[in-house]
Amino acid sequence: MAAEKIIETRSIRARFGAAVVLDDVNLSIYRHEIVVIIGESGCGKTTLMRILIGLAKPSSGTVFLEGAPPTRHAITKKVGVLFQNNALFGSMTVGENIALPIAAYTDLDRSAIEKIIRMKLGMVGLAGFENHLPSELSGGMKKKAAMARALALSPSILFLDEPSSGLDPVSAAEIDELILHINRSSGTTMVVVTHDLASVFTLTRRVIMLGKAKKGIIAEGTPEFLKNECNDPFVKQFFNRQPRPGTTGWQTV
Amino acid sequence: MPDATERPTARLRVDEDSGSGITIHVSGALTIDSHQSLSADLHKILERRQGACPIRLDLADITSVDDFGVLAVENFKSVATQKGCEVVVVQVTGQAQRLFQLFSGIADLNAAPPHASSSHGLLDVIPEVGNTVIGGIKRVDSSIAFVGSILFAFLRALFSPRSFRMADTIELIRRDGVDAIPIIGLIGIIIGLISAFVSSVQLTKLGGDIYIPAMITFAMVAEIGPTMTAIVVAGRTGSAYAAEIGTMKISEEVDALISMGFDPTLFLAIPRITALVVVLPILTVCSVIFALMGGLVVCVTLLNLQMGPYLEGVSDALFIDDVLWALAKSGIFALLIAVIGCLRGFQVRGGAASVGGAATSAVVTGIFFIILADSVVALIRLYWG
Repeated sequence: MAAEKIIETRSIRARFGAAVVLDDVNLSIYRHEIVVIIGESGCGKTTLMRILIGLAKPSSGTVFLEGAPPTRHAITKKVGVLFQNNALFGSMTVGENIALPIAAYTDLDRSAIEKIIRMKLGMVGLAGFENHLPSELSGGMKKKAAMARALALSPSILFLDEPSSGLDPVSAAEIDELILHINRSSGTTMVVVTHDLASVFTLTRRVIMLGKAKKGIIAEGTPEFLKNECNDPFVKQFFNRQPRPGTTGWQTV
Repeated sequence: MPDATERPTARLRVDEDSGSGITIHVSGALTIDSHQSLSADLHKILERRQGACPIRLDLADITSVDDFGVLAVENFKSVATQKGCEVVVVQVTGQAQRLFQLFSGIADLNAAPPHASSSHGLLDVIPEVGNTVIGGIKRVDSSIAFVGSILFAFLRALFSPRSFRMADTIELIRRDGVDAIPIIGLIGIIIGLISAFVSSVQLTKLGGDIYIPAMITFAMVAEIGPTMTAIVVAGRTGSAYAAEIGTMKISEEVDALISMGFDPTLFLAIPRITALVVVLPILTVCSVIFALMGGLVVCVTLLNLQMGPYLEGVSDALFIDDVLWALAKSGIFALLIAVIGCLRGFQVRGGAASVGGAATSAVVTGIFFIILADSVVALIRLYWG
């Protein structure tokens, strides 16, 4: 049986003023998979993610969520987002942050919501931290708390923008393991936008790479394929962490 | 062992050449520590050369070099060339050679900037004016859209009370109202003291001390109380709204709200607007009471006016119409301050500097609109009867 598409884009184009950031982007994301979107800085990864989660409108083209153009309500119910800066509300405790969408979109009473909060925090390994303020947590713990909030309404698909940015290697590895664990245990589809090559190899069998010059997808496949077999020279440079030849602006003195 | 505090220096030795020229042998360090003395010494030699030309600058014995040393040599070359003397730098090797090449590259760039245009003709003004007008229209457009979204959010809150964030509103009333009473009270007392004192200077001459309480009451209730309180609140609370929402904008918290299906206007702006519309009239009343107390202090201590006649004067000048107009005016000011503060917060783009700009703009725009609204209300009241 063919895998079910959870998100599909057709000829997405995005521009800011005269600058075209994305042009003719067609991609499919299948249910239960982990997809990593990578690319150089400024290639449009975050713009693409903002379009997919409904925070930005494409200049042209269509996005389909579970086969239909997404409504705000559908996005809220089915899509969770972990933002790069975590975006936890600093004046609320971790528990209140997680309770926010649950209280708004369910009819659960207070004690039921508290049980859900404890379960979500348990899922991300932060059991007992519901009464802490975000400012009392470390970088890795904030990521986990933000992930618990993103999972609050048990979304079908979770978008993660640079989940390991700003973390030490151990914390970054923990976040990668957590992503894998949630994907395996709940089947949540994961779309990870990252620069971190170590995470790419840990997390996924499917990488979508965007290029600034093409303003769209330049390669797609397993991390090993992109690193060793892809014909695109930029993809190879990216995966082998090499600078662009002849484009370094510094001079030897 | 060399003294760590000893500054490296460049030493110069001048030899006469076989022709009319001279050779300057440079040894030691051509670095940030020695470039000033090197430059001064080279220029002294240039002054004393008595027509000797060309000058050969031999760098064979230098021990270290950096870009400051190279700059000193290149400046010397430039000055000498202007004075009609050719300078040839010789025996340049290794790092010094690379630095001189880098400098000459930069010098070439300076000589012929690739795309720079220094002319600002009349034609350049036209697109600038166009961009300014378009930018202004866009700002007005976004402001109208924001006011529309506020009206829509208020209607939503009215028909769906569950969506109204009552707990946030109460907390904001405490923070923006109760916590503001000390500063509002202090300013009120000072204004009362000044008003009583200044008016007494003139009225005492005419034997009109008895009218001072009425004057303070009328001035404070009709004009100074609402306006001064609103200006203080614009500085204290309007800027805070812009900074809070602006910071939430750049830290993606507003995006997080949208992604969770919340309307940021309903979630962030409506509680703030409601809280301020509730607290500003109350703060205005506090301000007037404190000002009357200030006036009382001056009247009792300096003007031999007793408390009884003072309070009688106040009550004679206090009309319910004036109080209602003042409260209505405070409500309008609160609406303006809160809407402008929230709007400026939502308009934040980029980084921390933009948040500071939004806070400043919220105060300046807020004060402007307070004064404008005060004038409009005064005109309306004039024709109201």
